[in-house]
Amino acid sequence: MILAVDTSGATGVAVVGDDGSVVAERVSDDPRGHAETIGPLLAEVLAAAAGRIDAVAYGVGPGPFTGLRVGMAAARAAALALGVPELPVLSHDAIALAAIEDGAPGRFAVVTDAKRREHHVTVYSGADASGLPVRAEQPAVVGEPPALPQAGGPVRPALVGRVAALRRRAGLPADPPEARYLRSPDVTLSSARRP
Amino acid sequence: MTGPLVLGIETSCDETGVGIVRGREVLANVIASSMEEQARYGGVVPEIAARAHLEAMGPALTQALDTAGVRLQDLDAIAVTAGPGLAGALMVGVGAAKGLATALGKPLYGVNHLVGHVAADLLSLPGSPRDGAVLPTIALLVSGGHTSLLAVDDLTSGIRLLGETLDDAAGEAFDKVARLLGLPYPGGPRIDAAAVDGDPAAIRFPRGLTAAKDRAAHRYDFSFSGLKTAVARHVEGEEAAGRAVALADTAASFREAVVDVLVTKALDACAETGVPRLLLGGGVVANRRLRDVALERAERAGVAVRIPPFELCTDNGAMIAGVGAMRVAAGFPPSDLGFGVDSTLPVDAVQV
Repeated sequence: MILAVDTSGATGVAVVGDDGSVVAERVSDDPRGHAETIGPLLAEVLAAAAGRIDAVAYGVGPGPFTGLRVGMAAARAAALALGVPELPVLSHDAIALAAIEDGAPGRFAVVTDAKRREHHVTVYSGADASGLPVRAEQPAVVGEPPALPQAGGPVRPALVGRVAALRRRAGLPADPPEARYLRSPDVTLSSARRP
Repeated sequence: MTGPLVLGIETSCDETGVGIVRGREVLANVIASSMEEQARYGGVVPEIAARAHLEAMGPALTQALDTAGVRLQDLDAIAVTAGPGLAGALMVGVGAAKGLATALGKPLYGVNHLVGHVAADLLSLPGSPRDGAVLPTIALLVSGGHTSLLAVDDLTSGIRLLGETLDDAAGEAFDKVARLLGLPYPGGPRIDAAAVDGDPAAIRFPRGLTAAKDRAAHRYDFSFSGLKTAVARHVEGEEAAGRAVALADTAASFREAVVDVLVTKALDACAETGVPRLLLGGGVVANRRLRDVALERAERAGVAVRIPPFELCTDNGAMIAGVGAMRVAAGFPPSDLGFGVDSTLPVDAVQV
């Protein structure tokens, strides 16, 4: 079974079977409070898995940075504690999988709020033979979403787990483990005074 | 030595700390710093610190376990800094700690960063056993993020905040004045180096909150923003007069003003409370002049000064593990898994 964590939006935790079926799923309806919520939610789903976790999947964003990091830090630490591999997943892939399973035809865009009147957009061209979404364009921050059918959040943690499970079953690699911030930190370089 | 085996995680500022203690003995104390990344910005940028914590956490955990020669399954508890500190940075540590604790089924203690600095004095590094702090004591914690004067009766319940900075932390003042003087970040060591041949009495910079009128309300509080402004005015004045700024004298005089205020107020607290002991903690303790002046004046005042080993003075995970181990040993229940971070957690809250 795979433990899945995603905090690219709200706090979500799930356990899925090797075929991606949902064993347990808990999602907080609080869009904030990730650091608080992650503990009780993890404890609940891990109780349902009863020591049968063999990998930890986690969403790497894009999403608001502060919350995103809480889930990633928790998931990586849980993988270390359980001695099992990490399976990072682009969070938009979970939305795309849901759209495909709902019958999204052909090319579409996953669009989520990037704040500052911008959007996080990932363009998909459909599904591969395993039913996994195929990215046509990598995630980016854009002002105007492309003129394509759109799918949006929230990200379901069980679907992050299912993407990881289907990929693992198909022998496909996981995503890179780094957070997809897509923006540089907001800093102004200090101008040193010269006396 | 015996005692609870506890792993502590510290991410309140720009240092990712993971420490492991058995009771009061430090088995591992791994510190990864994002200071080099921060250096180009002249100070700690919270978002850069938080990003660095996320990447440093896994390697730091693994290295600490390797160094200590223990397995996660052997731990009696996990401890983590819940505050005070930078919220986004604290959340990375709390996230990691909750991931570990829930996956291992181990108790989790969310503890106070400032109490950790005091607890550091109870710990012994491998191969160099120390006698733990004698209590009660006055504690002066000085770092890039904190300037706090504490009265410590015991570490389970009795820490009182006597005073703290009303604006910049002392370490922050060093960073800002370094920038004014064209010196790179971090400012403490740079100003120390620049001040070597300087005359600390060359320029009489103000001692914040030491006037008679401040005594009632702010006897033990600190303020460094006026000092920073005074240095800026001095530099501007010299430039306007067409003179080169005397770097060594300016650095030495600024440093003397900071050190003078810190030591004067700390010893005043010792005298007023009748506690002849002073514990120094925090990264600014690395400042040689602060240590020298504190030791010299304390001796004259009949006050015994304690300074933990430097790697336990700066932000670190071992001191957090140390607080956790004390809580476990004293029989306190773990924190509720739903606790959050508190960037202004008061020092009398040892555990959340």
